[in-house]
Amino acid sequence: MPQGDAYIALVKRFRETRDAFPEEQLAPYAGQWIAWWPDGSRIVDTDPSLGALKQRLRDAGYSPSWFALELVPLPGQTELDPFVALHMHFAENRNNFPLEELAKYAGKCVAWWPDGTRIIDADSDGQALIQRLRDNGHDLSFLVLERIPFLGETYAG
Amino acid sequence: MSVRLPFRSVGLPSGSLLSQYWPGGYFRPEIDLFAVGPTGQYTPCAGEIDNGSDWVVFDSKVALALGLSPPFARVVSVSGIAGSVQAQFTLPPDGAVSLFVTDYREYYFLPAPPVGFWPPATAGQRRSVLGVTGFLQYFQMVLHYQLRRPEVELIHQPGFPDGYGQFPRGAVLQDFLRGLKLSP
Repeated sequence: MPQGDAYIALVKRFRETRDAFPEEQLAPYAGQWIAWWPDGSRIVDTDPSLGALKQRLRDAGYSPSWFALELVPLPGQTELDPFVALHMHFAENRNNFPLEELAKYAGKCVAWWPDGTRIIDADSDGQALIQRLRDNGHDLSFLVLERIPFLGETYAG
Repeated sequence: MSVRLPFRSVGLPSGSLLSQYWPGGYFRPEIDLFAVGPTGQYTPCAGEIDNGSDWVVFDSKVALALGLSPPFARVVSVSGIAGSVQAQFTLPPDGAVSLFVTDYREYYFLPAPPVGFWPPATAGQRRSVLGVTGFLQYFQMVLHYQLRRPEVELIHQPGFPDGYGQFPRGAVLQDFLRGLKLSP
């Protein structure tokens, strides 16, 4: 099996090759985990259980981490997780957030709405912020916590 | 197979020295990722890619958000800023915290990296860093500074410890992460 740079060359082809794989050929694997050859050119094994799939690969003498692992959605499971639908825009919106507005939170820990369009709470004490968010019924896996740097704060080392 | 993640934009006052070198705006290699706790619960977090750091260390609020209670038993002393500053952080047992990195096209899952946490700071928070041990050691890293909005590209290397693949559009993230976390 390829190692080193040869392996990296293989996995660099994954996205293009996987995207070209006919979707209709994935239909029989709905709801299952697939182990792809690292370049996405073929399916090596499948199983509804990720643990069972990995064990079978190990039993066959492979390291499971050698393969790309994909969970094929069930039919009709096309809606994005609401958190994912928001958070996939976080970095772009966070980067476009008005500087003058962000400067108001300099040095504080803030809780972002998952799409990065607004700050819902902030505190100079991160622990106090977390406690307050919990007390107010917020799900901490839904929010993005960040310490806002001071305007012009630069780093070295 | 790789993930490409945008840098974080940094606000610089006009006229500051650094801004003179970055007329198009300045960006740091700080990326968004997820810390995953012992039972698969997760919290979004961010860290600066820093191959000068031997360790992955997060602000203590990441541990608190996962329901963990720092300080932990393992203590590490480190120096920073060219050796001028000394600090300590603590680590829970390996495997208590996993890391999940995705650009929502593909993903990498690191099941049991050593992940440290800074003690709560009296003022502000400590910067979270994604260092070598348990993170960068597994990737070929390409910094795309040529882009108007710079990005880092992470490509896993042979010996990557666990899962990578296509991000499952349509799956509930919580369920997906729990599946990765709890599968042996």
